[in-house]
Amino acid sequence: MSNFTKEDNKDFGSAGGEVLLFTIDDVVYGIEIKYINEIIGIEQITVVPKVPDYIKGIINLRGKTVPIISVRKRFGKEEIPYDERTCIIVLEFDGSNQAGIIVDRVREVAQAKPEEICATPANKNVNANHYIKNIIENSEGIKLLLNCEKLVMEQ
Amino acid sequence: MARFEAGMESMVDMYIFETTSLLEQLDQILMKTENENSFGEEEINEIFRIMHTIKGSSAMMGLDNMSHLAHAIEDMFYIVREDKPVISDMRSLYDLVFTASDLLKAEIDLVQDEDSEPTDFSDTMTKIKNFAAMLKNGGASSPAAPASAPAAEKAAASAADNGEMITVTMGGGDNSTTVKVTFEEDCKMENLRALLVINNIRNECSMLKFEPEDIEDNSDTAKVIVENGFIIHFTPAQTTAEDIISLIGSTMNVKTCEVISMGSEKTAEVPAYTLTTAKVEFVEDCKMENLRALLVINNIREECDELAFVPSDIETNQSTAQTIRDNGFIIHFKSGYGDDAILKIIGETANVASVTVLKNGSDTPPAAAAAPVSAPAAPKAEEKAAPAPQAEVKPAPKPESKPAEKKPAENKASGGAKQSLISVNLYKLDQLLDMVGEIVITEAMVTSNPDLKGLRLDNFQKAARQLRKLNSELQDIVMSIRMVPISGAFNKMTRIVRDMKVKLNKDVDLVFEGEETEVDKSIIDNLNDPLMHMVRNSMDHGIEESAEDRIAAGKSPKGRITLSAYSSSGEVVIVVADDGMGMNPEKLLDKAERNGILTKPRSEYTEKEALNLIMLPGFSTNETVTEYSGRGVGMDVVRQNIEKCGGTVSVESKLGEGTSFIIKIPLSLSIVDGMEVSVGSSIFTIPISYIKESFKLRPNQILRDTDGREMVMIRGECYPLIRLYELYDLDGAQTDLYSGIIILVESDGKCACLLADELIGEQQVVVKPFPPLLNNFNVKQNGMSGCSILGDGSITIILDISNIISDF
Repeated sequence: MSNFTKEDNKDFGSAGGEVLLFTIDDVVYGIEIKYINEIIGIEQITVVPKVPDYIKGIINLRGKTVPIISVRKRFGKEEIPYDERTCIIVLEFDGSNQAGIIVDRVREVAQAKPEEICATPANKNVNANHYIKNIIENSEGIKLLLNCEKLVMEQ
Repeated sequence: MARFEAGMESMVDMYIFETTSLLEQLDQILMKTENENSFGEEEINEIFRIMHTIKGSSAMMGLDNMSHLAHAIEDMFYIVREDKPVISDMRSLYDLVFTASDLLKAEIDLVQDEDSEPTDFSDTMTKIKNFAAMLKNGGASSPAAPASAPAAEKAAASAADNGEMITVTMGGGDNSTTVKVTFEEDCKMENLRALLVINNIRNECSMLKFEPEDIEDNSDTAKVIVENGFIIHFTPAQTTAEDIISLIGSTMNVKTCEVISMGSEKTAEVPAYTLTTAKVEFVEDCKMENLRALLVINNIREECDELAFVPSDIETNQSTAQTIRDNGFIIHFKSGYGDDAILKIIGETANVASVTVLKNGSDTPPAAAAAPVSAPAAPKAEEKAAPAPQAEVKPAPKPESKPAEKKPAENKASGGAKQSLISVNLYKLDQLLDMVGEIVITEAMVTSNPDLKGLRLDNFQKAARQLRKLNSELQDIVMSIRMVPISGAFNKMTRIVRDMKVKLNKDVDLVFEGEETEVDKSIIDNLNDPLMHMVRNSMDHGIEESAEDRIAAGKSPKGRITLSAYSSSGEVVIVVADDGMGMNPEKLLDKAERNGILTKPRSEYTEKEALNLIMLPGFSTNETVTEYSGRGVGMDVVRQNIEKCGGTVSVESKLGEGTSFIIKIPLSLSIVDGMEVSVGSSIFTIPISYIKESFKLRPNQILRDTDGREMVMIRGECYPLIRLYELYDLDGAQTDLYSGIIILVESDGKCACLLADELIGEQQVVVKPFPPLLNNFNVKQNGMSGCSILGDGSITIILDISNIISDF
């Protein structure tokens, strides 16, 4: 709470809000609910050649093509085989720009109270918290709130 | 702050569309006349009309600032038109009008933004007014209009000497007509609506005066108009008073238009008969005499050339019923059908007790018209302007629609002449196109349904073929609806070239070739910015700094920029070429090296690659940032914009001879005939238009050059071989040349052989752009132009053959 900077997190940090929680390798991550369009199971992904390896390809989501990003690859982890709990979370930015992220499993939607939200360490260059916007800490444990724009857009 | 009252929104779109196209028209005229360095009669009139329409419609929308600015220009051109001053300072005139045109355009953009405040144009207006005053003084010595001017203008010209714009002294009281116009209740802003009426008829009248006079500037006049009506005195120029009255009647929100006094007709076609006055009395106790009187009027209106009645406000004022009961209802009329016929119609109207002729006009009806005339089926007279249909929203008729206005009144009654053009929201067309795309996909889902495999279905196949044929016709029609000539985008460039010519002091000709080439509307919209950047680039960097430099290089002192467009095999090719200095690949590489944007050793760059460096973000060869270019974003933006609509940009340049930017855009954005091929687990679609043939390779056809590059020999010609799985790093594909299939493709005269696993089949596919995220990774540069969803829901990637070939 003490090192929480208002400017950085005007929307979420000060007001809190609902967060969709999912896990990768038992680490709990969160994404603000406003980005979430829907959650679907793994579908047939069409490979697009000559793109970074974390982009798995595109899927057909009711007539729209949506790029799919592997969060594991994005975080530099080894990929594991998809199972029945593997999900694609479809995110939406700027009203129309969609992207899907592959996660190990989706947990729940939780309410993050403002006092539970902390900023990441001031040392912003550390690659480890590159994609992490805030840390949510409460009695149930620590959750890492992801910066969706960076996760998807940054090259 | 909302700029418009509720209910006006629907008109805002129309207004913006119309005003924008008028301003574009204005720019074109200015550009043309500036090149010829003289104003023709027609051009002046056209500019006058454009400003006039903008003035009127802006006033109607409540955009007073725009209206006033347009008014100032209109005034100026009025002087130019009427006084024919010898304009010594053409440059300032053009600059003024161009500035005003730009201001208006900028304001139009602002209008679309709800929260914007109206801009203050008073500076420019003062300049224009001063210039107009100067013109007036300068031109006073040559007041006589040339004999070629139409009679109407002569009359107006002499009137203009009084120094008044519209309101001139009421000369020749005999042939002037006075009418009183009332507006629909609660229509608001009556003064501006009155202005609209005036604007509508101004061009048709040689004399025009109205009360109250200051409707344009004084909004209090609205109240006066509501109370007393709006009085117009006019003398028709070429048409008849009736035409003008019906023009008034057809203006939006006009409720009644009642003739107070009629001028004696001078037009030869109208027979000389004068007003007949009749008194009508109604059956006693029939009540609502005023409305019954209105019925009488409606019945005879069609047959009468002129019609006036007392009391006049029967439609709105119920107390007139009593007046009619006491004094009778007096009708003054003039009719080509003869008084008897009219009196008969009056007499036959319900509840009419008696008709007495008080004063008979000289009765010379044309023989043919003596036959009894049945009352018109629809009593939809001009004055009862029904809630204006869309077509009538146009505040002032455009020149093209004028003939329709002059058609006989019968046409008016049945809703006016039919329009053969409509404007449609682009969004709806997009939806239509999407829908057709979905139909094509669904058709494929049905006709190549896996359930049908192996069945012999002759009748089904026949019906399926028919469906396919109709669908492809539907596509063609939808596509043709969206096609517009590219000249619109080109014409905008003339303006940019003109401005830069002045600023950079370079003499340049802008030449168009093939501007009638048609492309999809959405492409045109995406082309404007790239074209502008490229033309600026050519002006700024391409063309030599001075004429001396050009002469020294053995070129004509005048630079030349060519915009050309043509279509070739499903693509539109647009070339922006200049005959300037050209680019030096070495210099480009130097610069790129300094900026650190080289991705491989400098020596490995081919000339072509070096030239294409200018398309990279952060590259600008110009040392200094000028007003027009040099920030190093230009060509990067061009590339992105073009790629957004599925196209590609390339550069060709010869040092000392000039530079060309070549844009290639698929003609049809949406549906292509494609051949599906499989490579490993991936399916690619190759547009049929690129495929020459496909075949299995025979061992003696393959040869390798010293670098180990493979080539295929076909009928004595040698083509490079591209293994698709190698190009795209795909696993699990057929690597044996003789098992896979070879597809010979051609683009721009270059051919290559592609190796794929197998051909799946021919199918029409609907092109969908890649998601924006993927565009960040230069998929376009890697020979993929888009993707498409197949009938079974899977995705195929469409290959951009010309891009693949150009890399080999």
